[in-house]
Amino acid sequence: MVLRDFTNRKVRTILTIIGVSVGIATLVCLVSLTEGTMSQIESQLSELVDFMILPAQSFQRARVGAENVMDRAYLDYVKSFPEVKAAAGYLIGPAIIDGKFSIAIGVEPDMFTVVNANVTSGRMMRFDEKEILLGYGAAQNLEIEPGTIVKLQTSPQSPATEFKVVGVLDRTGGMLDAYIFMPLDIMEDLLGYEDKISIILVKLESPSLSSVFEGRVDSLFPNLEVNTPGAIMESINQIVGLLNAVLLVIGGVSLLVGMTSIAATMMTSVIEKTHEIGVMKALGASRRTILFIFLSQSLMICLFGGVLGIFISLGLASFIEKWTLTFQGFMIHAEFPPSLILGALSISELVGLLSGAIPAIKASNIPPAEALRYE
Amino acid sequence: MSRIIVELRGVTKIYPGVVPVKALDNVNMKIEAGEFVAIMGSSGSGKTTLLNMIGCMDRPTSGEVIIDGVNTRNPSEKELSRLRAEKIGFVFQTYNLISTLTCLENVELPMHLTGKGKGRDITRRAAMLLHLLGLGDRLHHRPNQLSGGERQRVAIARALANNSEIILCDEPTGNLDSVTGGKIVSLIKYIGRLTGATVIVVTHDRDVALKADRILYMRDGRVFEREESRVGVEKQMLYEVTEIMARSLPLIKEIISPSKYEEVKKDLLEVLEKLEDERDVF
Repeated sequence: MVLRDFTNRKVRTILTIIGVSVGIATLVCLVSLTEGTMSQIESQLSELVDFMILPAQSFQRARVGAENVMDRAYLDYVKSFPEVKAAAGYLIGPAIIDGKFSIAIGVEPDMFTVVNANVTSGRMMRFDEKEILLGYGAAQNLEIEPGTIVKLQTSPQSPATEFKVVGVLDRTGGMLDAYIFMPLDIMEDLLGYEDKISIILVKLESPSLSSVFEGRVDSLFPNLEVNTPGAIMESINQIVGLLNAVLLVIGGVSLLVGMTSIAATMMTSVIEKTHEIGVMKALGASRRTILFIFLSQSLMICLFGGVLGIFISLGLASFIEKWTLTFQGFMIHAEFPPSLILGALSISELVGLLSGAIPAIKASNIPPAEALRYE
Repeated sequence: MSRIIVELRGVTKIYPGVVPVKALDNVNMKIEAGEFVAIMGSSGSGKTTLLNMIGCMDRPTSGEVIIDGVNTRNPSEKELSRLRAEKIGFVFQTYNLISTLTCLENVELPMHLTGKGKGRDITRRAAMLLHLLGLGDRLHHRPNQLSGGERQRVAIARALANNSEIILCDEPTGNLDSVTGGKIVSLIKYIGRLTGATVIVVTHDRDVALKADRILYMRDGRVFEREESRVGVEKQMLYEVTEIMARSLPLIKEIISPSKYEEVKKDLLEVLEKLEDERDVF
């Protein structure tokens, strides 16, 4: 009966479902993107290095571009510090292979020593050839075997360059898994840089030398930032936390609009069905039965709205991922863990319960004789 | 004497408002199980309010309504719903079928509401009732695909769904032509006899009332009864027609000559006065 009622007023029901789905989609999309990006950054920062040196404010700018690179000479300086055990730099940029978006980094041979990464299948690349190595995750994502020739672009508009995939790195559980590795010089050519790098990874001789190292970098290179992975994570957390609060308010407002729309639909339905409620009561329907019918309708609208909203958010998040990489030069990542899906459905049902409660109570409280007189 | 299934003791119902309306005024009546009772009266006389009281759809302002030994003054709303579901079946003037459900589903509905029986048994009983009422080929039709008479037969099947002991009919022929209306009342009477149900019909229709075992009249919220019911019905009808004409005298004056008007007025008022004198007995 509950479902039959929907088919009788299709347009109104569909519009209400869309209203709810917009709110849920906004919320899920925002949470999936922020959570996904955070966990991606977290995994990237979990590499076994003591410090990361970046151009000042580059995390705040959060994009790849001329302002986020530094001269390669800095790397040589850092390597010469007595407290530094090993250091490696890389240049980061977007990569599109067979229409799939990824991140490429240009590296020098000592990078693999610093982060202790080994080739698990195929061989190590030659640094004077157009050869690439794939991180474990990148290989799975791109479904490419060593030996394959691929065409790589740094943006949809840029010309494609042919590369030979020569090997896949062992799984590290960190940033290396997601990257495509190529010789630094070739990466510079692709991005139009000369002697530039994005990040320097540093391993110290001993953790006790941290303050000495930080002091030296700060005094010598005021235009660079030296951070521990933990400190970077903390500052990102602060920015994302603020962003999250703003976005959740936007999502909340969308849901509030959805709630109002359901309440209005249900209230109209109660008014339209007053006579029918009288008939149902005459036939023996209790207040609880009437309450159940109207609440079920409201919950069902919200369930459909929630499911639709989740599907919309999947599409929207995937679009945003590609859009940011293509046009903004940085990659954000969406994650849809089961807890997010269940949470979204629970919120949509809560919305249904709250917005349907008043109309349902009103319907159940209409005296039967009065309801029967209503025309 | 057989079992009293409906008893009203001093029932008064006042609808509150700027001007409170006394719809029932100290009504006392008893109806035995298996009786077919007609309730007649002009519009606003309190017939539907009385039916709502018997059907546990409304509570009296004062007095007691006892349905099959259960005093409806004290029970909770839930208990009254149960009483309605299990003991009372309704047949309305406007059929009041649920438009989104098929005939079969409409008849199944009261059985689902009581929560008794399995889905398959419920469907079988609903189909059987519709077959009994000649609607075997209309099981899966929606109400809007049926004629008025057919809809009313579905409503009767629905009223019988839970083996109701009391069937309350509010103007069941009000929307039907006289031939179909006659058939419907005969059907209700037949079904009442067949199932042993008590049938209470509120009607304006003299022919419907004449098929009842007993006729009660309502005027100004009060119930009257007379042995020679058929004579009473005719006099009641005559009174109602005369009263309407008397109220229309200013209009009549506009369309006939003054001398003719005086003659008509004198005759009408004489008849009305005579009928009003006799009214307490019919």
